[in-house]
Amino acid sequence: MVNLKIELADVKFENPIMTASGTYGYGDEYEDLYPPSKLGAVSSKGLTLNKKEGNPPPRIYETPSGILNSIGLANMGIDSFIQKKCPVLKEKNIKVIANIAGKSFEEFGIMAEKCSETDIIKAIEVNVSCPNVKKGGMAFGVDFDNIYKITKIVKEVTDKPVVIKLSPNVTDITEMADAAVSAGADGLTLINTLLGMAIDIEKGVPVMSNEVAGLSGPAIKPVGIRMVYQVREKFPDIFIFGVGGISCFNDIIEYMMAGANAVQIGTSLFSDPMLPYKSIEKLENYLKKNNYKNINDIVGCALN
Amino acid sequence: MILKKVRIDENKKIAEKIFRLSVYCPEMARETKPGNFFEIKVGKTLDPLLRRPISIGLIEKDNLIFYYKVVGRGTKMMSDFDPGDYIDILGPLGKSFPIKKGQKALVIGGGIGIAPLIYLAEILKINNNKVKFLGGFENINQIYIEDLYSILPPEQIQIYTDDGSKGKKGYPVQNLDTIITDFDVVYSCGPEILMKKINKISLKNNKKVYHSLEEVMGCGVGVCMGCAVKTVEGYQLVCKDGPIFNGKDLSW
Repeated sequence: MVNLKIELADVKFENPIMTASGTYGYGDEYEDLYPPSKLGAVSSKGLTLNKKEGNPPPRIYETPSGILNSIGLANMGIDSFIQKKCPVLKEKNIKVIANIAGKSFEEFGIMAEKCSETDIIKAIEVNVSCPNVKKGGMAFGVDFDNIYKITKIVKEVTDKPVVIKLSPNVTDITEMADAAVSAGADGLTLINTLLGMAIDIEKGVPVMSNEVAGLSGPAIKPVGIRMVYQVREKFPDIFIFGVGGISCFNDIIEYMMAGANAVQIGTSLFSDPMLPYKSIEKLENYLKKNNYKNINDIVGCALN
Repeated sequence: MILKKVRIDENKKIAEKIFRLSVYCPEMARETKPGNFFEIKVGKTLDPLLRRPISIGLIEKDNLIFYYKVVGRGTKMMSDFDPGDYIDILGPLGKSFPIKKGQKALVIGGGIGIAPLIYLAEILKINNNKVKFLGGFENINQIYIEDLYSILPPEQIQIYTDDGSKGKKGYPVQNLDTIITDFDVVYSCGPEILMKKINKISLKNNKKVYHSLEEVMGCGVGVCMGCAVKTVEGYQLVCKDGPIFNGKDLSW
């Protein structure tokens, strides 16, 4: 029997295969296909203090092996999520990571406190890396002092594990990781989308109304792998969620070997919604076949 | 919502750039209502990455029929599907057209937007609606509604072409102000400019009006929030809150 269980701070998850914020709705939308409770956890749509309308269309634009998105954190707001959605998710036994996106330091604290009220939320993922909002978002996530301060604020108000989701749009990802780790973060999510753009050559203007947008999908996988590897090299003990362009089972192994303790599958869900579910059994078989007893045996093995 | 690899029984060009795709899937056929759509995987590699959302065109016993127009890379790849191949499709998705029994229904479509209205016409007829169908095309070469003639008698179908090469010359909204008075409800799908005109005239005449909207989609199931449309209550999602919308709710 192989052990797929992982631990983030003192919270246990059945397996390391999860879904990425913004690509899995609020957690139960795909339940016609398989029970989401089978996944290690699901990361919620980025939640804001108040309900958010999101950006004007177009919000999605397909690029080679990827998509540009400019959703703009459209979401129901954290109160609705906790009061209306969480009880439903609890009944379905879905393990939730709440992804929170404040537009000020204070908002992160308020939202983290709200998350602490419900036991269905297993961990808090702090989104300091959304490229598609005017206030907050990535502006926080590319600055050492901001990341440090936000991490401190959130850690102070909650006992739940706190994970900081970092932006890849920086010169040195390990410096941003350092800010979060020094402030006491329990984990890091690497990476959010890469800042990109597309031009409509008929009109001669950017395709997206916000001009810039976030690039995700298989096209960005090598960037994610590189950043996980670099951060793992510098921080041997920090918990890392590897995210970015996972489109098949082998990509999961690749991220884990680069140093991820767990993975989140995102954009590829749109073409292959079964990928996370199918991968659980594949992971078990892979470990058995290669004589590993524990999932942790492969984490970061590429660095040795 | 079902995810399945289904067998292609037919993929035939039936008009200029327009194809008729028939796939076998009894369980999907049973669940599918007019206005629903499917997310079709067009290739086996990671590029293009996204599935293509295509409205249901007709149900023939155990088969789903899609009418699609080759407009870009994805639909070009679809046109290369061969009978006997299996394709991966997800659906039925989205809301369906609201239908009441015994109404007088005016169905108006333009171009490839007519596709979802063909199955709608059949179900309206089954529900004892008196249906009048107005279909607009660029020219005679783009007319693909042969299947509709096995559903409605020819006198209930009026064709319009931009160049007058078949049917009446012009667009299916001309004289709509007069035509509409005989009907209880209007259904439409086509270019946005056409649907907007239909919406305006329908609401002015106090008629219920439903549109099937199109938008670039990421997921098709409401998880990515990518296909926003402005409504009187803010943005809604075409894939989940639609693709069928009540005309009075749209910010047109």
